[in-house]
Amino acid sequence: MASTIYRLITIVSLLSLIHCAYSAAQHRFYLRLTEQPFVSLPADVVAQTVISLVALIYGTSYLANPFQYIKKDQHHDRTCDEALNCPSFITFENRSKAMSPEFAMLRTLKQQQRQRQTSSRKETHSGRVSETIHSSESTDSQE
Amino acid sequence: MSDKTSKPEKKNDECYNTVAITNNVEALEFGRTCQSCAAGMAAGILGLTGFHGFILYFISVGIQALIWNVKAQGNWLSYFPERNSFTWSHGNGLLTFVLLWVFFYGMVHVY
Repeated sequence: MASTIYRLITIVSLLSLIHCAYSAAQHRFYLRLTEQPFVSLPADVVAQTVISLVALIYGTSYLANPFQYIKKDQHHDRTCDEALNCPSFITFENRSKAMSPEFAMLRTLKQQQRQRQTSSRKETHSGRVSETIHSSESTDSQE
Repeated sequence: MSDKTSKPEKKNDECYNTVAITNNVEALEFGRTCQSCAAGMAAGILGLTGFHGFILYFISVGIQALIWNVKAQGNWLSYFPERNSFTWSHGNGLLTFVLLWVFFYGMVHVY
C-alpha cells in the first residue's frame, strides 16, 4: 500500500519533469521564432521543475529497500536454548529410552500380549507349531 | 591514554548484522543514483552551466540526506555503522549527474 503511493509519486514527478523539459524546449523555440534573446525560463516552469525534483528524490528514496536494524538481535527475551536450537540434530530413536519407566511398562505389556497369543495358539495347533513359537520366544528374550 | 584504549574496544565489542548492512547500503546506492539522475535532469532543463549545475547537485545531496534522516527516524546510527549521510558514493552520483545534465541541456536548449 505504502509502496504504491511512493511509486505513484515517483511516476508523476518523472512525468512532470519531462513535461518541464518539453515546456522549456517550446519556450526556446518561441524565443527563436520571435528573435528575442534568452534570459531565463518562465517562473512557473522553474517552480514545477524544482518541485518535481524534490518529489522525485523523496519518492525514490522511499521506494528503495526499507532500512533494517544492524546492531543486535531484535528478540531480546530469547534464552540461549531457544537461540541455539537445532531440531534437525535431535534423534528420538536411541538406547536411552530403555531407561524410561514408560518404556518398561510398554515392554511388559507387549510381553503379556505375546504370551497370551502363544497360549491361544498352543490350544488350537499341534506341537510342531509350538516349537516355532518357542524359537520366537527365544528371539524375544534376546531383544 | 585510557580514552584511546577504550574507544576501539567499544567498537570491537559491537557486532553487526551483515545482511542488514548490505540491504541498507543497497538502499543508499539506489537513492543516490536516482537523486543524481533527477538533479541532472533538472539542471539540464533549467539550462544551468558551469558551477551552478554543481551547486544544484549539492543542494539535492542535502535534500537527499535530509530525507534519509527522516526515513531512518533520526536514528541513523542504528542503521549504519558510521555517521556519513552526506558523503555516500559521490563518484558514481556525479558521473550520472553530468551524463543526464549534458543530455537534457542538449535536448532542451541546443536543439
